[in-house]
Amino acid sequence: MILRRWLREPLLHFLLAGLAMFVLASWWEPRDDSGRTIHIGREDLLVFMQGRAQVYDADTFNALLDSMSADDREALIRDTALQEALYREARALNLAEADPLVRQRMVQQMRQILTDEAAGNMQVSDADVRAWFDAHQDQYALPPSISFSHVFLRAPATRAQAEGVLAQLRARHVSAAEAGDYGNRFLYQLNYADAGHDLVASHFGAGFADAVFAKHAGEWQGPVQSDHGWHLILPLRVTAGATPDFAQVADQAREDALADRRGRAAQAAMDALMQRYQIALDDGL
Amino acid sequence: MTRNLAPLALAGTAAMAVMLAGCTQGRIAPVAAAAVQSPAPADVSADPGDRQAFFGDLHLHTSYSLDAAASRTETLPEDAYRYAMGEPISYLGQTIQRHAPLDFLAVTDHAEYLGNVRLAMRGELDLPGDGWAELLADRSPGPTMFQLMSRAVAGLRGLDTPGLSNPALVHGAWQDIIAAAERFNRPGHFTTFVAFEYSPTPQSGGAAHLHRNVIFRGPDYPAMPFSATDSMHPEALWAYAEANRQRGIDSLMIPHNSNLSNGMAFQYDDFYGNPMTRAYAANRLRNEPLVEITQNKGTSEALPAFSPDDEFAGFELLPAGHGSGATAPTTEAQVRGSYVRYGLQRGMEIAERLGVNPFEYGLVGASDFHSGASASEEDNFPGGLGMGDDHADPRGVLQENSPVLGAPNAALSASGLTGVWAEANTRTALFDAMRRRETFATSGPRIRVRLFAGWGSTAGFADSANWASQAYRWGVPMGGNLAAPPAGARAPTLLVQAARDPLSGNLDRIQIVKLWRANGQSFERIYDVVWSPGRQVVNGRLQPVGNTVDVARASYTNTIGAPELFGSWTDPDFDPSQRALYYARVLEIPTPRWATYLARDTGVPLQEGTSPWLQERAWTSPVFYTP
Repeated sequence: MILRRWLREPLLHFLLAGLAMFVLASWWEPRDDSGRTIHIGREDLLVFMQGRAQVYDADTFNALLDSMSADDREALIRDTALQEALYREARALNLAEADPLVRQRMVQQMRQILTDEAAGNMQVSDADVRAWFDAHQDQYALPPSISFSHVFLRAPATRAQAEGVLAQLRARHVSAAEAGDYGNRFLYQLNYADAGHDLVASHFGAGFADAVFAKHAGEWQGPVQSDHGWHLILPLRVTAGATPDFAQVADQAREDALADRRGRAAQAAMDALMQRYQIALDDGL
Repeated sequence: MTRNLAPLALAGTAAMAVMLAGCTQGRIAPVAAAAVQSPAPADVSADPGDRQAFFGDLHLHTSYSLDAAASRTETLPEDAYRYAMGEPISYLGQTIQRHAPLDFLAVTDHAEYLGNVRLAMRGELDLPGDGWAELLADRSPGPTMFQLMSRAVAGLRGLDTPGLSNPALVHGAWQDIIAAAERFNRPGHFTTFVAFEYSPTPQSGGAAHLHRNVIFRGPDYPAMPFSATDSMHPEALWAYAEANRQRGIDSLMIPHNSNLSNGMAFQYDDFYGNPMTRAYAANRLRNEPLVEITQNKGTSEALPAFSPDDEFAGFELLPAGHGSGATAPTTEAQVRGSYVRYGLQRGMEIAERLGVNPFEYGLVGASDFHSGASASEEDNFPGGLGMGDDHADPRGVLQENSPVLGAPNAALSASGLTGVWAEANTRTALFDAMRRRETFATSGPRIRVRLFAGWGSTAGFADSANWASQAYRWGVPMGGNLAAPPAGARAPTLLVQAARDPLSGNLDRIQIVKLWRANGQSFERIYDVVWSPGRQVVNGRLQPVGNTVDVARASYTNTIGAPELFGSWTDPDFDPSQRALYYARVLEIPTPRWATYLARDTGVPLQEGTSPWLQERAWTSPVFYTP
C-alpha cells in the first residue's frame, strides 16, 4: 500500500526524472566543470602550455608534451588544474563585475566578437576587388621606374672621351656586374634598382632623368650629361608608369577593399546592437 | 618554457597584464605572426659595396603617447606612416607633407599609460579623481595643457594613476600599434618597425631621462610593452628583452636624450649604484648597440666648455637654463655622463678594467617629435610638440619663453635622421645593419656618408667606380672593430666619402674625431680631412667655408662648398698599445634654421639669441680599435 502510494507521489517522479536526466547527462557529457572535479585532457594541456608561453604552435607543443619527463608532466597538470581552479573561484566571486579592468576587457572583447561576427569571415569577390580598384585607381598609380648601371666620367672628361668608353663597353659586352671596373667613383650609387624619376633627378639632375627614362633596356647607351659629368648607361629594366596593372596590385586592392567593407560592417553591427536597446535617461539629464 | 618566462615575472605589472589579457592571446598573437614579411626584392646584391643608404626615423610619438595627447596632438600611428611615406596628413588643422619621403619609420610611443590619455581626452575613458574633467575638456594651449601634462607624466616617474594605469587598455593600444606597422610595411619600398619608448624619469635622479626606444626585428612581438611603471631600472628592460629574445623575439634598445640624463646615461655604475661587472657590460652592449646623438630636444655630441678645441661643438644645444624637469648638468662628472663623446671615452675607460666596453655605441639621429610627423626639413617644419609649439602662434614660438625650456621654442631643433647602409629596404636588412652598427646620424638632411678603416694604402682603388666594393674587402665599415695591425703596418687609414642631400646645402668639410686612452686618461682630437676646394689651412685652422644665408629672405646658395667630398687620412699619432676609436663628422655649408623660415613667413622677428642659421651635419658610427 505504502509503496503504491509512494509510487504515485509526484515528488518521487520528479526525483526519478532528475536522476534519469543526471545519468543521461553524465553519459552524454561526462565532464563537470562547475564543481570540484577538474577534468584534464591532452587538449587542455596543450592550450595551457601555449597560453603560458604565448607561442601558438601546436606541432611544437605536441612534441614537447610527448617528450616530457613524468615529473614535468605532473607539474604541468597541476599548473593547468590550478589555473582552472582559480578561474572557477574568480567566477564564483563574480570578479568580472567587481573589477573594472575585467569589465572593460569584456566590453572590448564583445566589441571584437561582434566585429568578427559581422566582418570576420567576410570575403570580397574578384568582381568586388576589381570594382574597388576601378573606383580608386589613383591610389595605386605606379610611377615609372628604371633599374640601371652606369659608368661615370668626372668633369673635365669630354663627350668624345665618353664616346670612346662607350665603344669599349659595347665591344666587350660589359655586364652590369663588371661596370664598376670602368670610369670614376660617383658620389651616389653605381647601381639603381627600380628608381623613380624623382630619385634619379635628385642624384643626377632633371635633364639626365628625362634622358635616361627614354632609353631602352639591354644595351649600353649614351653618353648622357649630368650635373656631375658624363655617363654611359646600361638600363636593365625600364618600367612604364601610367595605368597600374590590376594583377600587380590585386592583393593590395583586395586587402583595401576588404578593410573598407569590414569597417562598414563593424559600424553596422554596432548600430544594429543599439537598435535592440532603448536608452532611458534620468530626469533632468 | 617555464624557465624562459621567469624573467618576465620580474616585470610585475606587465606580467599581470599578460595574464589579464591572456584570454585574447590565442587570437591576437597569431595575427601579428601571420603577417610575415614578403620576401626581399629579387635583385638584392650579395656585394656589400652595393649597400644603399636608407634614411628614416627611429623615434616618433603620436597621440598614443601620454604627453603628445596632452599637447593636443591627434595623429595616429597610421598618420605617422602616411606622412613618412610622403603622403599629406592633417596636423593641427593644417595639411602637411614632406618634400622627400623617408625609407623607414619606427613609431615609438611612450609605453607608460599607452593610448590612455588619448582615450580620456576623447571621453572614452572615465578617470577617477578630482579635476580631470576640466583638464580634459579644455582644448586650448593654455595653462590647463601644462597641468594635464604634469599629471600625465606621473607615468614616466613610475607612478600608477587610477584609470590611466590600465594594462588591458594598454594591451589594446599595443595591438593597434602592431597592426598599423604591419599594414604599412612594404618590403623593398618602405619599412615600418614595431617599437615603443621605455621612459623612466626618476625624481630622485633630478628627473634624469633614462629613456630608451625598443625596436623589434619582427615578425613576432611580445604581448605587452615594458614601461617605467613596471620598473624604473633599465636592467629590468634588458631582462624583458632577453626573455623575449629567448622566445625568438629580437629587439634592440636605443638610449637617447643623454643631454637630459643628469650624468646617468654614461655613468660608471649600474642603475642601482653598484659597480659594473664584465657580465653586466656585455649584457648592456648586447641590448644597446646604438645611441641617439641628435634630436628635437638638442644634440648630445659634446659641449664647447669640455671640448675647447672643437670649434663646431656648440651645435643645436638645449638652452642651458632649460627647466624641462631634468636638471641641466653642471658638474664635470654630470656633463661627462651626459654627452656621447665623453660617454664613448668612458666606455673605453671601463673596458680597461672589465675587458668589455659597455658603451661601444654606433650612432643614430632621430626626431622625438610628439606630432606624429617626422618633419626634419628646416624649410618644411610644422613644429613637433602639438599645441606646445603650434606655428599658428608664431609670436609664442619665436618670442615668448617656453615655461619648459626657459627660452623660446625656436631653440628646439628640426632634427634628425638615421642613415642605414643595407642591402635592401626590409626589416631584416635594416635591423641587421643596426645590429652591426653600420649607421650614421644626421641633423635632418639626407647627407650620405661612408667610412672605412683598414691597414695599408687605398691608392689602388679610391677613385674606382666600384671603390666601395673594394673598400669592404680592404677594411671594415663604420661600426666595425678594426683588426689587429698586420706585420709592418704603422697606423690605420680611414677612407671617407660624403655626398650632399640633393635638396639641401653643399658640403663644407669632413672631419675625423679621434678619441683614445693613454696613461689612464681620455683624449680627443679633431682632424679636418677633406674640404671644399679653394681654402687653406692658416695657423693650423682651416679657413671657414663662408656663409651665403640671407636671413630676411631665409635663403642660401650652393655657390660655396662641394657636392661631394672624398678623402683618406692616416692617424699620425697611432700607438698600437692604446685603445682608440674614430668617427667622421660631415659639415654642410650654413643654411637657414627652421625658425628663420617661420620669421620670414610671418613677419615675427627672431628673438636675440636665436641663431638664424646652422651647419647641418652627419656623424658616422665609430670604428673601434682594441689593442
